[in-house]
Amino acid sequence: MFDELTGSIPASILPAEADEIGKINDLNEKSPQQLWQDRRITQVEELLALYQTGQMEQGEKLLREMSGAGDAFDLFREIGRLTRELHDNIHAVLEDERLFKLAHKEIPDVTERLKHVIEMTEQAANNTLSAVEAGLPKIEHLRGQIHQLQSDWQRFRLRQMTFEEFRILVPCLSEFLKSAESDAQEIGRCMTDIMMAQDFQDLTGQIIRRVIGLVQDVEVKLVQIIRVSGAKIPEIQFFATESPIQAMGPATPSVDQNAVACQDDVDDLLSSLGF
Amino acid sequence: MKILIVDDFSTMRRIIKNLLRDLGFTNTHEADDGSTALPVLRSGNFDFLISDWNMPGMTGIDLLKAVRADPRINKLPVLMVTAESKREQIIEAAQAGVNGYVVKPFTAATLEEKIKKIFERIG
Repeated sequence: MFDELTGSIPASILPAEADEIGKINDLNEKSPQQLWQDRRITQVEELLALYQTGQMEQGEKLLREMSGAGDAFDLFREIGRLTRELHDNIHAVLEDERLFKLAHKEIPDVTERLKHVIEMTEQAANNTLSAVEAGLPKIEHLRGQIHQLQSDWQRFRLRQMTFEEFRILVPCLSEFLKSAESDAQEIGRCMTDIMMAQDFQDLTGQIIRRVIGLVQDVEVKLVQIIRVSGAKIPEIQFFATESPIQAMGPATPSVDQNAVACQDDVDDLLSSLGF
Repeated sequence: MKILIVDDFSTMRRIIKNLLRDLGFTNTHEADDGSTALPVLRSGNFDFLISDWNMPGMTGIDLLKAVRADPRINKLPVLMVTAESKREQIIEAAQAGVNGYVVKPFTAATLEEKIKKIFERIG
């Protein structure tokens, strides 16, 4: 039944046929294709003989046999074997402890872990920005006072300052020294806060590394499942269907192609478009 | 100068807001995606729009197209500040009528330069 459709013999049913024909033919000398042809010729000759001698009923039976009944039996046996194999493979996949753990524990966990990464980086950025926002006015304050004292000090050195003015300058100077110390302390604290906020790099880096390991495990398991299902893995066509203007966040070097490397590339591209 | 900053990450809005303040722009407002930004823009007499691209809800490119399609606000200068860095995306933004394009991570100097350039061109 297959040969009429495809012009070739299904490989899976050849051994059984060959066994049968082996009784009358030399198995070692002929190819499965030749054996198949021989068998067909023999059958046609038998059929012709049966019809010519008026054995119509037996002729019809042989004809039915030739048209696929025997092949169908082999085909069913083959389907049975494949079904069993598939069943075993599916069970092997289902009973795989690693896969079970991945699906039930680690994948749900990883979502939370990645959310945590976002929270930590957001926290770090906010801590840093808060420290900068607290430190900048202190620096501004210091600069303003220094500017004022500098002109007074200049006049003092050039002996342009009256005693009365000097009497006012002295407490101002004391005040400045005191506030400068506290400003410097405050700025130091901000710097420490900024430094401490960078700990997210270590913490998120560890989580992300763990996630990468997990993704690799999932990849291995997926390849196994695809292999079991017998599907061919298509080439890179998955990505061809992605819209080139679809937003996808920061480009990762070595992963994303056709991305610009820096602001200069953006400017060049835009100027080539007449910007 | 009334400026709207659109980004889904509050930290990035904060960074841009601080940079703008250093440049002397203190009248800044914020939105976290295109769909919240659009009604604000339509009712608020804004002079400048700075938008991210990749945002949940309405993306920056869709916001840009919506702005250009609305006769009340279609003259609004738009600066895209985004991590989206594919050539196709930059061309798409240019064709949609963006006035400037800054890729993240960026520096304060880059942001200043692009903003100044936009104002020079508009006059």
